[in-house]
Amino acid sequence: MNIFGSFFLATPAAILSLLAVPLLILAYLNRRTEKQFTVSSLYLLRQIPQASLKRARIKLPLRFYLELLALLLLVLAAMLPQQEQSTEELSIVIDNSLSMTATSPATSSGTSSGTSSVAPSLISSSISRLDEAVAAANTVLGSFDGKVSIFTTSPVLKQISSEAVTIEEAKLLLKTIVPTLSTDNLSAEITALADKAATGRKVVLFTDREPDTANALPVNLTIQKVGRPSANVAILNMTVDSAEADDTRTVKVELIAGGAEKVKVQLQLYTFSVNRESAAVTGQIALDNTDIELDSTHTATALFKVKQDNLSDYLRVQLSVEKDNDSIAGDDSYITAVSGDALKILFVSSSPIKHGLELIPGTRVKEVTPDEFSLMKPEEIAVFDAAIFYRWAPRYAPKKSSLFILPPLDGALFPVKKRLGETAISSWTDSHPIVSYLRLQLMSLPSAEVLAELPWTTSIVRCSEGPLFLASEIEGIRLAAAGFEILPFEGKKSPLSSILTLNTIRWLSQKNKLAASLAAEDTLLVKTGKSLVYPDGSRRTFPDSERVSLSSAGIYQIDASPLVVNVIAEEESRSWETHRLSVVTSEEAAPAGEEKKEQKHNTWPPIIFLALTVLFLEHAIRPRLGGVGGGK
Amino acid sequence: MSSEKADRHLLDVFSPAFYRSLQQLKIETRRTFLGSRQGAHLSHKKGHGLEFSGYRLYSPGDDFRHIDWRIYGRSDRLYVREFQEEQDLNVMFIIDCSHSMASPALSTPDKLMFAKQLALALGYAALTDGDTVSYMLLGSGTVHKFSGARSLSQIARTLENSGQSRQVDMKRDILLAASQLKTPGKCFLISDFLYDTADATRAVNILNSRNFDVTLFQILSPEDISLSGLPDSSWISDSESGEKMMFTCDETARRTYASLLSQHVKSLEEYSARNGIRHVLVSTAEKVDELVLSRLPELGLLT
Repeated sequence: MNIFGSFFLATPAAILSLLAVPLLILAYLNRRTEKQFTVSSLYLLRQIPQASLKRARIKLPLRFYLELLALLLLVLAAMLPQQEQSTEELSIVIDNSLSMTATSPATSSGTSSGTSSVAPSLISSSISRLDEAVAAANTVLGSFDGKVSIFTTSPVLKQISSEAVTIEEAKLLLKTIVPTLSTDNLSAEITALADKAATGRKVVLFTDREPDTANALPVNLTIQKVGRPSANVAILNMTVDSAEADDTRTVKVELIAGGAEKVKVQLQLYTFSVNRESAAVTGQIALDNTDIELDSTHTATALFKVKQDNLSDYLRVQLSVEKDNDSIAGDDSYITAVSGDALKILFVSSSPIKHGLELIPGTRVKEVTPDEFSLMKPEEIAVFDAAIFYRWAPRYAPKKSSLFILPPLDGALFPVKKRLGETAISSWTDSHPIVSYLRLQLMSLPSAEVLAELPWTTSIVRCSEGPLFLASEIEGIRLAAAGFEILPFEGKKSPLSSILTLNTIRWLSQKNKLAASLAAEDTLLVKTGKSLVYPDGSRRTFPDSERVSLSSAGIYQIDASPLVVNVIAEEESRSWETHRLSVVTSEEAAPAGEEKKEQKHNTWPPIIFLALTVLFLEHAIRPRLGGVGGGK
Repeated sequence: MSSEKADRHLLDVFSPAFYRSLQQLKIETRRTFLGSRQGAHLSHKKGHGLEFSGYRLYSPGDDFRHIDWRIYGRSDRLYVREFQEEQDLNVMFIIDCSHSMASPALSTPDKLMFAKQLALALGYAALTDGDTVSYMLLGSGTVHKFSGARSLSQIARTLENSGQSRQVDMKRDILLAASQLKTPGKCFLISDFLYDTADATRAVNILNSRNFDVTLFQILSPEDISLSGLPDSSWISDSESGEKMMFTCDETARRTYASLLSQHVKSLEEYSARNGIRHVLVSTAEKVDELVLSRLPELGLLT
């Protein structure tokens, strides 16, 4: 028999036990009438006028009511009350990547799932896609009865609730989700989550991506799309060329726009310095501004010419555009460091390749062939800060700090043990500067060379087969060898390899100012005892090594070394496009059509305990018997 | 119970210091009585006491030392000074041993035990003064006489061994007690007097008519005074007659009872005042030693 929603009585017939209640009342009445008290004398009591002698009021003592309560509790326990609790579990995944910050004037969202479509319509005005996702998630939670876990997707899929939480706790957690300025590997991670989900656990993803209809979704996965295409303008990159003869420097700003036919954009260029202690911006000066018109889905480059003398340590460009044409604000500015002396790199390759090293701010690259290198005099080589040998290596170690990318198999300096196809990085040396700020497990390698581990080398990055990246230092000459492709340097487009390249070049060239200006949107490894200053000036010292997520753009300071963080996700900035999410069903996906599972919880044991407690209490407070003459 | 145990029980109620204090006390009477021997109380017998009582003409054989020569000088007649004889006092304790005195059993001590303790204490004070002490336990039909301070343990034993009597004919027993004393003296009648005042006064009149200096000790328990311990509604029975009745002990009943009790006590007081009798209302909540050492002297019953 169901009572009060999920509560029900397994043996309602036990209510007949209430027939014991009249027996209890009779017992007390009988006890009461038999009890009499002896008084010294009735001489005076007899004289009390009859009017005062009311008909004996049936007043039952407190003990009676306690015993009655205990009896009622026992009757209730005998009816075996139980509670049904749903054991259904739900994982809510909120896409909090950069594109989710896009605002749209009105939105309708749809769902796709492997089982059924639920299409709540959300009508909003100028709220972000993330807000829409959270609202949609709250709607789903409103009709769910069970345990929930909450995930966010950026920079990596992460569960933000410690364990399965209640609906109320889940709603509170949803309010705390903030967007991160990053891309993510959502397709693979969602597939993995759906696959790993326990039987009976549903996964609902709220994202602005469209699931790829070519693949069937896992049956326990529902994708609820939020947001609609919206126009946006984004700054993709800013570089500063080396000083020219007239001591001017060219600042190039790359932009992309989409979603509107033509967009007129204003760009303002600033220069500023940074307080090394507090990371606070100081001495900001507006240098120049320009207007530029972009066609839809076009990139454009704006150029600024500025005098070297007018430049401080950093440049910032800020774009302004009509709000309707700019749905994401996080990609509207860019910061870069202005390097002093240019970094001179000697690039040795047997055939010309697009290495992209010129994208590194303040870098000048001279490309030579191996033959040309062989003819170079030592004083000619000495002017370079570092050399990069691509798929070739001299017989003897050069007297210049060098990086060997994909050294030849039969190379004498860094022999190759074996070539691999697709491989995964298994470990890396946390403490080496070359891997600073890197989370290498995100790096997938389509192919790699396992290098021979030599006594004079340090293994920096390894796979299961052996080292993939080696470094050494002998008599001040630093050498490094990469057994996998790290070129072309693409800056923010391939942040992991770019950071690795920059770190390596910085380590080789021993020029500190350079590498600090690259955006690092992933987690940042801060070593024990180091301090991190955030762009807002707040400081945090780390007693233990910790990976810190950088979610705000700006300039950070690690031990007085600046680190510039920019928005670097072009794909995320393309909010006028609907991106695809490819989720593939795997054989281990959770089965479909699970009946709603419920668990019955017996609630009668605490009722029995309560009844016994009441009886104990009644016994403890039982008053001593006695009357005027003493009870018989 | 062995006599030694009985002695210990009642005797041990009071401390040695209390007994020593009792030795300093003397039972006061409102009038003078003839005693049987020399004692501490002034009697109306003329004799050789210290208290001057008057003059009479000289008779041959009178002691020359008692001739008042100043009167002779004035009157040329010989007069001798007369003194009151100090004699012992007969002190009688009549203790109501009916069931009502032992009820309710909750009180400690009960009224009967309180009465016995009071009688023992006053009896010892009388004995140490050289008085003769008699105890009459109503319902027993026996009067026990004691003299000399060494009789204390015997008195305690006698009181311990006496039980309760279901039915007490106070008038008959008092008549018996009074008849056993050749000369009247001080009489302490100890009871709760929770019965018809007329019955009580008839009995007391016997003592009064025999010229006893009567003091009534009316002993009530806290339960008698306030009906505490009675539930709101219950059957109640009389401790002596066994009569039962249903009684609702609400606030109105308590107030009515208090008024009736007050009237009853007052009627007894008025009777006592009219007949030269002392009435002392005592609660078993009081301590016997404090009652004897403080309150009774204040009332003039002891000095």
